[in-house]
Amino acid sequence: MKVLIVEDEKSLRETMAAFLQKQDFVCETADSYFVAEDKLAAFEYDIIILDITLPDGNGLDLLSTIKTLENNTGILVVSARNSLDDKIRGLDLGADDYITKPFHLSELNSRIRAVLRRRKFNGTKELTFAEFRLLPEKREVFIHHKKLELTPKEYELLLYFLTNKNRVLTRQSIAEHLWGDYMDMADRFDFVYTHLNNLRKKIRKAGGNDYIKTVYGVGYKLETE
Amino acid sequence: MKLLHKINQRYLISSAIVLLVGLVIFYFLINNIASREILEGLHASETRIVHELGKHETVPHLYPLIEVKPTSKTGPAYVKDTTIFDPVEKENEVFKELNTFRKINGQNYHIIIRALAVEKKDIVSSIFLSIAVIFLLLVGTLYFINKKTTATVWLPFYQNLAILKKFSLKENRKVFLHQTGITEFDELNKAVSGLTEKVRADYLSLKEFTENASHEIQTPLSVILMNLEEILQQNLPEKELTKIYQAYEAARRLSSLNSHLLLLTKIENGQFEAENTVLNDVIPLRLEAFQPLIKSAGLHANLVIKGIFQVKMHKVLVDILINNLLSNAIKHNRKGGEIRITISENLLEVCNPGIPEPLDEKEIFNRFVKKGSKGLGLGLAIAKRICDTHHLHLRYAFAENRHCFTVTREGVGR
Repeated sequence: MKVLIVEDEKSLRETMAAFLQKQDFVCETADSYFVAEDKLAAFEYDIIILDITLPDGNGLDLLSTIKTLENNTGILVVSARNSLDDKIRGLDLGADDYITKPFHLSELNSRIRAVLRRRKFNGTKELTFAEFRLLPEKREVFIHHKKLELTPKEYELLLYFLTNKNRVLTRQSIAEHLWGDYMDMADRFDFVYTHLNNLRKKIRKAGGNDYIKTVYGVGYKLETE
Repeated sequence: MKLLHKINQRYLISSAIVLLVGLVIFYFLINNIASREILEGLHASETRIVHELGKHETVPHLYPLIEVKPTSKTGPAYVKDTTIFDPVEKENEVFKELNTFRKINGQNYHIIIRALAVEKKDIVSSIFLSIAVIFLLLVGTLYFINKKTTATVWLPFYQNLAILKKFSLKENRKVFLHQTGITEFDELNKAVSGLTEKVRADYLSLKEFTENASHEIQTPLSVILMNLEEILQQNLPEKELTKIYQAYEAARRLSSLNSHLLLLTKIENGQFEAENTVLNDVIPLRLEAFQPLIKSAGLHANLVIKGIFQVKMHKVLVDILINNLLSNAIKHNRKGGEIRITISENLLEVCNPGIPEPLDEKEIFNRFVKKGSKGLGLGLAIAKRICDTHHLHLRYAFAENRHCFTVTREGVGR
């Protein structure tokens, strides 16, 4: 999978690139509108991570350039402005998703995977891991071919773990993934804990192994080893 | 006290003093003129009587006006006031009397001539009466003029005042004041217009600055958070992990605080478009989302629907409002307590038992008031702001050991 990161902030660009490389992506970066336009003309990407506030132009304008290329590229818009207008405009112009700074890398990963699933495999691809089989299109999960009855939040939680295997997911990151930015922080950890416990119980009851380990005081991690 | 009343009061008080001084002056003046006239008359009469006596040696006796008595006494003439019973008027009257002693044709006469004096109390009362009438006329005229001027001269002033009373920075509108055609008012208008314009400009630039600063903070925060998150992925000893996690959590908190403050700004700026939303549809969904938490806290929720509450509000804001009220009711609940949600046509009420004493109603909606919770202290402030900007009232009440938050429509009684 080939990804282009368009981001003017050096440190962010490098961190994202390093992270995505670890996730087996082939990464290219652009630090300006100009460079991005150049690269888009020369190469084809599976997904573009696009910061809309660039020093030499508005990232939203790049969207139309990308669209004229007609090459089934997924676009994830990144903005420091949590503004609905930008979001709606971005999505109208053909972006697949929108993410606001600051975001978790696990969240970025999860969003990229979701975009790719929709774009590249038309949502039909299933996600498998050990005894788990997950059908994103139907939002169904099977353990040893037995259907697991999950609430929407539990399903999302499991998917989040499965797309971020072997990564410590902090409680904050999970809470934000499930409920967005605006829930008061005090509730969220209890929330995460409650949902996770319910999920674990259901998995165990269905005969699955509990791969989710608690990283004390920090969060949780789905371990494959 | 109104300016007009104040001016009129001064005016009337000084008029009253001037009139009182006038009364005294008038009294002495009139008294003086009257006595002089009477005296002149008395002397004229005396001259005529002396003339008559010289010619006919007798004059008609006209008591009490004229008395002529032969006498052996002589002396200078004198004037005095006497009180005599007047048989015609049948009462005591004050007379001015002139006494002279004359030798006419070898005979000494004592001539007494009297004239009715103008009584002092008559003078006083008549002057007082006329002054009182003048004073009343003055008051009446003033009242009339005031009424007229309030309706005409002061009208633009009051109109401008009404405009200024409505002035709000949040509405982001220029203030247009009426021209009054009165120099003082127009100058005031100019000063006030300049002032509001400056306040508005300062407010806008401050707001812009805050917004930009908030947005600018997000990028460095992203750098911090991403890098900390990556360090957390490494297999570090627990001690180090805890330290990094603490730094990470603090940065998260900062970021969350920032985005909440930005949310508040956005609500105040009206950047959320209103759409018709039925609270009855939203609340069950929110309740369901909270269900695991409610259950794990050993609480139970009761939803009582008495009517359909429809609001004009962006869906995101409705969610935030309901979330904040519900999470507040969960957070500050008693173990095993109830969350009672009542919806009617004009009311949404969320009640829960909690600490057995009422909270400070004025304080709880302020920013950063936490009351023993670990949150940011912005939940209720945001809920309040959302209500305020959507013609709704958010109120707090404590009754029967229950803390209740109610959302009502503006202008609709509870």
